[in-house]
Amino acid sequence: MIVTIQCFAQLARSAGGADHELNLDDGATAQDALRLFAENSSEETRALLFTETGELQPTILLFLDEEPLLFSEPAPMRERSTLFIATPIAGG
Amino acid sequence: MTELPITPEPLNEEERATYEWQSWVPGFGEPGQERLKGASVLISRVGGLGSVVAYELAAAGVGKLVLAHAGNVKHSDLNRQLLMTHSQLGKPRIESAERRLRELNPHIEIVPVAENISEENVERLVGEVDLVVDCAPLFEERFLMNREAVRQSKPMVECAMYDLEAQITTIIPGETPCLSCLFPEAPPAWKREFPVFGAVSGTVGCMAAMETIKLIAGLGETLASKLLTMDLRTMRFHSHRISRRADCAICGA
Repeated sequence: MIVTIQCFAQLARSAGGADHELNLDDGATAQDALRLFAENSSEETRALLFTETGELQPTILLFLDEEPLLFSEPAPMRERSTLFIATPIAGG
Repeated sequence: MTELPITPEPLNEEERATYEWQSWVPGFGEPGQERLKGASVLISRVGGLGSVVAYELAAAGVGKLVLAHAGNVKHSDLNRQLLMTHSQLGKPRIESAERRLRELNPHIEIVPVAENISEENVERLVGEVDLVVDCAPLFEERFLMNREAVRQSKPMVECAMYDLEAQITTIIPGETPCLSCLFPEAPPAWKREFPVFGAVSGTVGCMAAMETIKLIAGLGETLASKLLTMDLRTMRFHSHRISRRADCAICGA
């Protein structure tokens, strides 16, 4: 199935753009999608997403089709689902 | 929407004339304007975001604006910090901000504070106002304001930007997620200076001002428990539902 990873702000800049399509096996979860996306990304992007020990950075916000998602709770993806990933931003 | 404990202030004839167009807004009217006049707002930093927030709130007639911002005007401020002017280069930002706001609306009270939010001043500054607008660039300041706003049960409009993207939410202590629910710690890779256009800070700054006005007047629907993200490169806007963290170190039960 085809799903979209949508990156926000710093992550989008690091990943070379906001939208990234992935082709996943049926039954794959949002967590699978995020790990696959990270594996195919640069070291800088991986470091924005995951700690050195492979945990999701605590400052990452995930939304699956607009709904909040906890990385600890596997969530199945559907054809054309969008996983939105936000890193924190501030003012200035 | 929970009504903020604000004492409305009666308007004079000049104020009625000044705010006539917004008083025609259904559900706002003169009672809403009297609430704005009786309200006080802390704006933490009046840079790219905060300049626009302060300008819109001054124009709308919010009775008292407490502005916290240290440092002097630099060339690199001028693409987005709309209260700073070329003639004020090298002079304190807070003086430039105060002068521009007084030119716009001499009838409101402006409290200029030539300091950024810190452990030393945060309790006093949050305690002076009815609500807070967080426009600070450093997460240390944002977390301090969040902690104090939650402790004093003051709503906080939380806005931020990067590149052509921005986000905004409204924090109501005890009801909605706080900043620490969203981000339990400072991001490791955040840099103090980042790419952005003034039109981006202006867009989200106007939204933050509107959220503030809605909170004060009890008008419409706010971004409580919703995170609005926008990408002005593609003009995609998303309203994401957000939840409190039971284990939040600041607002958790």
